[in-house]
Amino acid sequence: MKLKGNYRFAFILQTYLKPMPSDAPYLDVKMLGQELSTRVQAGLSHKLYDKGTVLYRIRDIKTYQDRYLGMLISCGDKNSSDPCFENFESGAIEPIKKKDNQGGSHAGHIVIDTQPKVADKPIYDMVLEKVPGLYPSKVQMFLRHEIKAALEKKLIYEDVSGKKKEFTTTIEIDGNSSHTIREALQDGQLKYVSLVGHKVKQDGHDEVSHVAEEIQQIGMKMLPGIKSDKAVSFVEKQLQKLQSIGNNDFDTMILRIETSQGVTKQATIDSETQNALEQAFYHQEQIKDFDPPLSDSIEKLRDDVIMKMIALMPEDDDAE
Amino acid sequence: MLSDILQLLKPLQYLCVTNTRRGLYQVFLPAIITAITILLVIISDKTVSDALKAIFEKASTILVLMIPFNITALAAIATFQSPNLDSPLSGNPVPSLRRKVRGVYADEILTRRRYLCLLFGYMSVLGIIMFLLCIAAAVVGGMLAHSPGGTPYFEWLMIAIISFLSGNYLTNTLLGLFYLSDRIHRND
Repeated sequence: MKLKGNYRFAFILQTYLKPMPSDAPYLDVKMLGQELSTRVQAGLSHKLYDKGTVLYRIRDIKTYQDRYLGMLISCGDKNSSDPCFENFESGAIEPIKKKDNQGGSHAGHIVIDTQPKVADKPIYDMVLEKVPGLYPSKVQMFLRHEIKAALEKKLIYEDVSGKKKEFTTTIEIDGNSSHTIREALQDGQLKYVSLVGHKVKQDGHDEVSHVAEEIQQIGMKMLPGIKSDKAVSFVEKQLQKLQSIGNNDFDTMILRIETSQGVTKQATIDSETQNALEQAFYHQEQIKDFDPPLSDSIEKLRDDVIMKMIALMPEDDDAE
Repeated sequence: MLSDILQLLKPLQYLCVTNTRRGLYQVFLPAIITAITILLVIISDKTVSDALKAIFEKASTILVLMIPFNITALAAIATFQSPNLDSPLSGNPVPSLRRKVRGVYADEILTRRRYLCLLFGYMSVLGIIMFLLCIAAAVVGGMLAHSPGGTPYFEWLMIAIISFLSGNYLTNTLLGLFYLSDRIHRND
């Protein structure tokens, strides 16, 4: 996925700060931001994944309008290929060779509303800039590590028996449903989902191999009366289950939805990119007109980007 | 000196051919044959020593016939004219042999002829080794016989070894026959 300098896409998400143990008090996002900020200033906010080839780092963290917590997270990947530039006049290609201790870097902004979406529940709106490596599930994985490290042995509460215990919190990120799928499910039904994979099969020793197509198909019928958001969430969970069991190395996913007028709509989802499900199901919005244009990776939060992301936050009157 | 001696064992490099069903043919199927043989010895009414003696006798009789067959097949394959024999083996990835050429390791893509020569060369050497083992067992077997009433570990070990080698020999013979009767006569 190539990033554009003058426009980007952002996931519209919700985050849940789940207390651990479950009877512990909810943690305030502002307080969490302060703890993370201390870690960032101490240069501790980073973690290696994938056998040391992928590095996640919180580069900057700041509060905006005394309400929104902004973060800049970068993802460095040693396995990424060297970038190249082409001279449009001469056609010459200029590759930029990275060193052994370097990796391709992308940075994305995150904004979390510190006011809970639902009163007395630690559920907050969140907007995440869509850049390679920073998909909701990856960000959740990294933030869980950071929150655990930042809060370790710092928080105490009294349980029902009056016993003092340590507690912490973990983060769960969930997406708002994609408009297209939600609308399609509004009065129609999902006919089936096909997962199409291609496998090289060999008929024995010293025999010519051939490519065989493998199709896994699941059919789902939405009962009348199910709210479209619930339906989308259900479909998404079923697909995630299907992905996690059995043969999951499919390269194409086809969704077929039949509307109430009997028209069949088909959508093919490219699963070669990471987190195909998240990309297909999560609501995304465009942000644009950056001045100066954005590069793939930056070191400090860009206030103009954060402001555009804050504007994408769901309206207050949507809150229950 | 060492390299001169190692040269004599070159036919065994068949075991180093990669991207074939090496684990299945060289280990798994022979291990199953070994297990079946041991089971048959356990349920038979013969003593372990008698069973071992019978296995060695039958193996040496078969080997007397098979060793010349392997060497003849090797000679035939080396000279037989067929375009199929000179095309590379099929498969993805293609079976290859890693060998040192002028001090540098390189992967050699095997033609069918080269692969079959390696196969029959290996079987010829394996047959000779097994035949020598049978002779050695006949000569020293009596000296290493267990004390009366003790567990015949040595006999069990020998049964396992000869069964495994026989299983390996059988599997590779069937593989060679597959090539001679079928594979080299048809195109990819």
